[in-house]
Amino acid sequence: MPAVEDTRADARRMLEGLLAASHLMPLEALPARVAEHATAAGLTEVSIYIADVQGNVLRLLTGDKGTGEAGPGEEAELKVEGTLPGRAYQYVEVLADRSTGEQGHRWWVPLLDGTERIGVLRITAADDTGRTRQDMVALASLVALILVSKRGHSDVYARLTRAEPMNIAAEMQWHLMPPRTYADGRVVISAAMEPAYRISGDAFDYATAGPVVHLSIFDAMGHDTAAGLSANLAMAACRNSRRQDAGLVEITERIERALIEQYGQTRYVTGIVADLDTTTGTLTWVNRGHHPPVIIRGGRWISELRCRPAHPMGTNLGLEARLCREQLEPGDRLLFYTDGITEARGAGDTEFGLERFVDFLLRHHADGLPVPETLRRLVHAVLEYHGGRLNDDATVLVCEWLGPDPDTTTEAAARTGLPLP
Amino acid sequence: MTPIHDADRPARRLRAEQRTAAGIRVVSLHGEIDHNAKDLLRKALGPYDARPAHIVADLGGVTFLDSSGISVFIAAHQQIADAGGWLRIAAPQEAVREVLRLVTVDSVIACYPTLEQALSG
Repeated sequence: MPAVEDTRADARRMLEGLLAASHLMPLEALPARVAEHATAAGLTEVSIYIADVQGNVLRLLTGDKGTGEAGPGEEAELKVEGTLPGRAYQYVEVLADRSTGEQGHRWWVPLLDGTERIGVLRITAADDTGRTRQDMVALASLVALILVSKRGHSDVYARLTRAEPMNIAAEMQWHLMPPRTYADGRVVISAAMEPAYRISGDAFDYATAGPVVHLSIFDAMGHDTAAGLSANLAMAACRNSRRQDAGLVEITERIERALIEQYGQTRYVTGIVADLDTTTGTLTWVNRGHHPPVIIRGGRWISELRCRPAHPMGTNLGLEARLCREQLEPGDRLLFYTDGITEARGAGDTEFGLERFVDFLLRHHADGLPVPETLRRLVHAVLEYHGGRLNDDATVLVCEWLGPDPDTTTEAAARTGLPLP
Repeated sequence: MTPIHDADRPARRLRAEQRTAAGIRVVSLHGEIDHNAKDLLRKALGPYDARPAHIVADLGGVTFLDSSGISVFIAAHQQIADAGGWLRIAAPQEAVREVLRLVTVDSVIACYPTLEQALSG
């Protein structure tokens, strides 16, 4: 039995070795480098599985082309529904796999970019002590960071996350938008969008700047590549103005000008741009022809944040854009959404509807399900409701305000299913 | 995403009928106004460049209106108004009225609950 100091030194050698190797390697080399360095900590048979954009399957990253042959005992693709690795992904849990008999202890460990789930690691360990668990979680954290640092220039990664071909607008949007989940001690933000491979004009954004959390959602008219371009233009203009300290009203006016410059008045974008001051809970926003935000308080109280909207950006209809204001309470959840969530036409012409949408969120929140998993299930339910075929993009952006302190993270960890240290 | 093709659902395909009442052109629309129907809608509302046009779009038979249709109405409104005429919307069903309200078009294009009210202004 090695001394505690020895096992700590082993784990450190594993992490340092992998960190050092990470500077000069393509993403595809990661499985081999991880295997090489993980043995220092007694972890063997490490496989990296990446989730597809819809969170339906976990796919094995292998070899030079990234999607080569699975090794012995490996499966190239695992379903998220109804499997142990899928459960590790859905609930963000480190799970022991008892199906392997006597050959050591096999584990499934979630891969997280912050709080965004990107896949799972399969690991075999010699024992199942608390120390081993910590080593596995540390390895998974580092592997996730390396994946995220390299995926921006890896087609292998992009291919792995797609179970079917994407349209051009989806290609633009997924690269433009921030990760679908973010959390710190003040807020938990999560978003979902379908049809993931056939997006047209929807986009969402969020960003932090000191105590302010910016949130925005856009829905560009039409269902074509031009809709994707309009949404891209709106979002880039929003970021550009924001980073030059423009106020919310002015941001929407600059977006309108950018759209008119490019498209005359033939294309428009509806949307909401908002700032949440996390020290006070004050929400300010501007509505440009979009569905009003919905607020959920105390897990039951629901209201729409009514405030007179201005015209959609790009139409130049001359209505005055006004800044709206609402005081939130800690624990309030704010929902932004687009037409596709509530209004898509089903087989019997009955809409999914705002009520069904909010009920779904309330029910799963009460079950204690991680927020990103709730949204994954929500968009699946919306898709299923419409027979797997949506006529319009369906996007939802949820932001829960927890309180003023970024470092008080227990609540945020619980909301996102994060395993506590 | 590609909308469900018109041919799948002929009953919902947009139809337009034109008539003139007391110098006002009434365009009666029936069916769904989506991406597939926007060219037909544009033609039905036009031409409006010649002289001041007075047009009432009767939406009593319209069961669905999306952003493509909204865009056609806005463009038509702007061109007609520039030429000194007007476009009014009559009798939108509740779902359609909600869309018009949401995107604030009802603040710009006058909307009336009935065709008679739209004709008498």
